[in-house]
Amino acid sequence: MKKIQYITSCLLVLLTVTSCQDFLEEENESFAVAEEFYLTEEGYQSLINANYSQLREIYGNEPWIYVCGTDLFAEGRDAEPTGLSRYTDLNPSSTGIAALYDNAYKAIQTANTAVYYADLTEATDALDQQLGEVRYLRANAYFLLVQTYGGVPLVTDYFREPVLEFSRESAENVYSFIISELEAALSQVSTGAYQGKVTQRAVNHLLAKVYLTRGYESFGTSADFTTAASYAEAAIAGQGLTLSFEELWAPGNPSYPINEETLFSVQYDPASVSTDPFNLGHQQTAYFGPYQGGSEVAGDAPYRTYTLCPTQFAIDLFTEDDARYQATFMTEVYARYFDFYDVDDTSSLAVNHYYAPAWEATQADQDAYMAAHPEATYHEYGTYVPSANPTNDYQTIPLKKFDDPGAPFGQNTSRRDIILSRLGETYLIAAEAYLQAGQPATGLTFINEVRERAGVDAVALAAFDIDYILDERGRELMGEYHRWFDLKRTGKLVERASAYHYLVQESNFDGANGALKILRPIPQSALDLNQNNDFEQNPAYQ
Amino acid sequence: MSQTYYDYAGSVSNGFVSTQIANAQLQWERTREFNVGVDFGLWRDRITGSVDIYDRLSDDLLFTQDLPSETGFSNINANVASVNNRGVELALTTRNIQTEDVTWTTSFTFTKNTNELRSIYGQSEVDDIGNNLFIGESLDAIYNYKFTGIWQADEVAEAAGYGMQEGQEKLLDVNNDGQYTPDADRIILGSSNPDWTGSFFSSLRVKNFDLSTSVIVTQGVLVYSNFHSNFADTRDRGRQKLDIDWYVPANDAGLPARASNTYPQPRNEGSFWRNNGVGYYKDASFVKVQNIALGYNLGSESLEKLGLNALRVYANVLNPFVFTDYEGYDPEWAGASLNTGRPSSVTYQLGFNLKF
Repeated sequence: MKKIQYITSCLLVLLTVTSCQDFLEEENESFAVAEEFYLTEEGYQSLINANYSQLREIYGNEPWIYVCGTDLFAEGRDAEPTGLSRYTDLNPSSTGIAALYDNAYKAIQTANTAVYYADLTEATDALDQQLGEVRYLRANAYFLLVQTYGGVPLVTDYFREPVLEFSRESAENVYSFIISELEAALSQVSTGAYQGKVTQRAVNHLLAKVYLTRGYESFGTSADFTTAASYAEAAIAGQGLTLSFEELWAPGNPSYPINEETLFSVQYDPASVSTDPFNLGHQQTAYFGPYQGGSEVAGDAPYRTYTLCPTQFAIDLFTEDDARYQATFMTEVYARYFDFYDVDDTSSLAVNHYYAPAWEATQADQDAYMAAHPEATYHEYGTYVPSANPTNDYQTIPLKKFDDPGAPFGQNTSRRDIILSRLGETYLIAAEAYLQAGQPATGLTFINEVRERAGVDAVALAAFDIDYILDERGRELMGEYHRWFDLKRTGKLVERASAYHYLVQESNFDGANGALKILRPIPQSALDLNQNNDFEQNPAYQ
Repeated sequence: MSQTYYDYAGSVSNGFVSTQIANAQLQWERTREFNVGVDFGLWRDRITGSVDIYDRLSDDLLFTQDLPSETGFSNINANVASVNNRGVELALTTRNIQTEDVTWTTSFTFTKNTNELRSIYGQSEVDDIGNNLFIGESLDAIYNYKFTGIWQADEVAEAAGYGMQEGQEKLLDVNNDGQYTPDADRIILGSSNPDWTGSFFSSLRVKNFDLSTSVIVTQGVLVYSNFHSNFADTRDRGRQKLDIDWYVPANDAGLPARASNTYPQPRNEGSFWRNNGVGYYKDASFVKVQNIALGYNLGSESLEKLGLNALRVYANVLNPFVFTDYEGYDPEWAGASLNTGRPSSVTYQLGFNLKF
């Protein structure tokens, strides 16, 4: 022990227990602000505004889930998310699956908040109308969810504490909820003209669409089609289609006033995006055509992603006398693309690209055009489609109806309203509803109103069927965010996508359990956060 | 509260909405700790060291908890979990040689810490996958499908059963049911919390010369390598890529076929590779020599002649060697984002210290 000296030796045992029940008395200021702010008239209006703003989250970004993988659009030089565009590797983690689910529930919770505070806030004359608007917006979010994912959790509570478990509701009950909410909203919202807020006609239009869609479901009845038709007629309210199709989509200057045929839209006035114009605008313009150049063409041409390019089938829907062809596609691109809008007399402008239509498919047509425009690149009919495997800029035909010539150059910059419901579609809903309700002759008059405005011949009763309606919807509503829902609703998704989308075969839809990949999968991100382990995935993805 | 933007027919109408649920019940974390430590010195401090063993249980762990999508809120700051940290820390310093002309001292340290989630939300049955909280596992657990190779040409039929094709990633089918399902086939792959870390420091002085070196060691650490997800992602044409042995199927384009089990066929990656990032988990264990320094101290006689108090001339090299199987930049920063996880540079320094 002498030789070995412990110079330091220390044994330390520390047992620390800290208890601090009264350690901190907190004043949670942010909580207080929200509680009190929504109680005032101004605060409640700001909550209503926030509800409307959720539309921008839902519709303002990538439109994959609305139009991808359909008969009308396919990828050009750039890739679309393969799950949504081709169905083969569509699974719960696929790109683009979760955004709609998350955004719709965010909108729903914002609506639930407004419904909750409606009982507490300062009583005003506007309150009833505001509540009706919120119910419409919430029903719209549920309608998107139930069409896309099937029966989803029905959440109507405003959450002040975390809830970690949710269970699926049946699609039937979700539809019932949507319908009862919309029918209640009908008497609450404004009966005036559409000025950005939900009106009675907008509610009627959505009700018509919801009943029409439910009519096709296993739990739907043929009475749904009849009801859909009457709501559609109520939304039409005797108004004819008097604007020309070109006028309907012509960009305004400098902003874009609401036209008389718009029943509901997502509002994007330039003034409302001015704080951050490169991010607060929307993306609708950035799709549906070829890449047209980078920042070097800023101010001259729009930014496009070279995805969702119109297919040969989409182009072949049109005949020569259809006014919608020229109003939908930019068939002739001037040296400066936007000169189409900015120059009054375009007759002497140099042409960069010409896309020859089906009715100019001969060599003589090409020679004649090239004699008049020797400077132009001539795209022969049949070559300017995604299946031709484009490599160069401008190799597919651009869709022009969403163009915003005044927008800054970029992907999130468009300031035109995104049209969600317009009169032309209401007519087509009425036509489809009457057809399915067993009154095709009545339906025919509605579809022929749409055709008459476009300058094409009336369709005969013998040719009037659901495929004809889908074709007409393609012509009338090209690029508007309806197509996947249209094909799914009518049971034509597998048939039409595999027939007309060059990357989709029928077998691509084969999912697990012998089910087809028609409903989208519940996003894995949502399942992973849900503590309810019995929450069922849709059968095709189990 | 966050600002929202909208207008009604051009009349700007911004709003405010909350994206978080305010938590009125938020409280302090509570921790109880049990710690046994021994510091010791033997043979006139020729050997000194310490041993620390601890067991720390933290209740009401503060956590930014992502909320289910259906709530419509993104997250809440909440007291969610009970976490146990147990570990041992060892340190040993020995003066191996101690004479007038030569001194040599070495130190070792060893640290091992295991953290284990005991309970979440007051229960210990159901994991919260979305928040990466797994009962009985590390807080830094990595949960995903296990990448096992690439489907080869002679496995096409089997691959098709999984909805996969030749040249795409092959995963471990944990329950052997012939399909890849998120509930059954995702497992804990490892943890970004290392099994152990250690260090070694040596300081040798021979007369007026001194030589010192330091080494750090991290073993048993799994990371999602941002380096690989960036430089081995052949789908992105925006920048240069690693020269990797991707799979090339038999083809009539004149390209020799190449069987690979490390990278899928470019532009034919399956969704697990693309969306779940299964191919980018890497072992980032390493041994790193941080520093080697050689110095010379001028003797006192010479110092007097020059009228100086001290003069030391030295050569120093920082980060000269790293021993690792990790192929990215600095393995020490393998799990960091590419903005911070950049290559570590080898630095050579020559210098002198002068004291008047």
